[in-house]
Amino acid sequence: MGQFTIEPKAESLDAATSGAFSDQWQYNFQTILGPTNLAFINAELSDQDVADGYTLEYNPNGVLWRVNAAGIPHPDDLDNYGEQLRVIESATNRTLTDLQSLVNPLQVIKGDTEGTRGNSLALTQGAGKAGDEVYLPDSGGINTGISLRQVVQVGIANGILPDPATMESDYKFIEGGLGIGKFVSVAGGLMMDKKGNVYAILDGSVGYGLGPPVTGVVGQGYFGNAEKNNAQHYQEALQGASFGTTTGAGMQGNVSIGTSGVISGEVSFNPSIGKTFGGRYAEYLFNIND
Amino acid sequence: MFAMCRKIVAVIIGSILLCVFTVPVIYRVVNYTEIEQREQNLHSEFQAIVHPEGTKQLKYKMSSKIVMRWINAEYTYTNMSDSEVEKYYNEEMIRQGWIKQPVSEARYNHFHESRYKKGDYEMVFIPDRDAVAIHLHYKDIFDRLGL
Repeated sequence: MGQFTIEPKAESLDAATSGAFSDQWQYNFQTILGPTNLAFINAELSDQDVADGYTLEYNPNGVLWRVNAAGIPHPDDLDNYGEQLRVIESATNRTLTDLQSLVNPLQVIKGDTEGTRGNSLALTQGAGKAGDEVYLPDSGGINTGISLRQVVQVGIANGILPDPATMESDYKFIEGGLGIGKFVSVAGGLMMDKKGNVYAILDGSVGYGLGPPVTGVVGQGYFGNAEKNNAQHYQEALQGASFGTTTGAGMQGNVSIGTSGVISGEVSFNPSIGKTFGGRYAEYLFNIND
Repeated sequence: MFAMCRKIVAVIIGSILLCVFTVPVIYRVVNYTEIEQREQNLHSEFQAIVHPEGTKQLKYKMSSKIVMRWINAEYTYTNMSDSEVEKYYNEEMIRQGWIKQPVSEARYNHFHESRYKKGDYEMVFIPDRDAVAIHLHYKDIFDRLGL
């Protein structure tokens, strides 16, 4: 069995964190793998395998597996591959937990130049295929660190924030806003949808009316023109830019359209009166089930 | 002091919103043919999937934002359990050179989703009642920002 190591990308983590991560990951990897787990043993060809047309190739983890002429791996080796992924993932998860305080999530984002979501690490094996990337179990958004996720989870557990499992509207949001001059206002806050996706939102609007220079807004909304079967659908519908108009006094109504044609209707409570036109940008952060 | 801070915050938020709304539009105008090609590439990648025998397609939709393109489809299967379907696609995606992406245990337990990556593409399989939803999208900056 080859020696597995995991090396955080140089631009993602500083040297000290990188070294600590590699050491801890190696320890966790060996612990989780255990002495009797054969998942990372290179496959060998038996006479029967040769007769069946199998040849040896490296799988994406750098371990030899048997593939037939059509490129389909041997079922036993495919099971082993699944086990390899499980061990790698578990070791990575445990290491992230162990070294939580050492990893500055913002450093990781900075190194993420390919638009890939999540932390990327280079995985190498002694005789295997170097340079394969393992993407840590981040479902896809800017990694804001564990603290914000924990804050949201604790908020939900204590009834301070809405629980997606019991949410009746498609999404809810909370914002703080600033009035600039007579006609312009901006706001920023958090939004969470029914499937547990959490977004950072920024609003900007122009219009007329009366209101305090600093406001707090809570609201909820529904959207149409899009599928709503799973978290991916919600993310596709709500993430990104949209335009809309808001009218009301105290309790306000908003209608907006996203760049994918998704139409949303919102009701919010805002200590102001008037009519505005504006835009919103929602950036996906994480899912509370991640 | 408060007025100054307020203006700074407003300028920052305003600048972000301005960029978010204008940069993708400019990119789209300048790279119109490339964006058309993105759709064709997605379609080709999706068509390359070999589904199990007896599979029935319930939905297929190519969706778009300013630059972002993605495909949502849904399939039902005869005489196959969710785990059999998951295993089948696992083998099929690996056979086609896709690499399975680790998903956190909590997320897997909640959504039962499987993710695969190949180059700039990501494919997501999510079981949903009697069907499986398949999402194919690019993994680039426009996808990450939802633009």
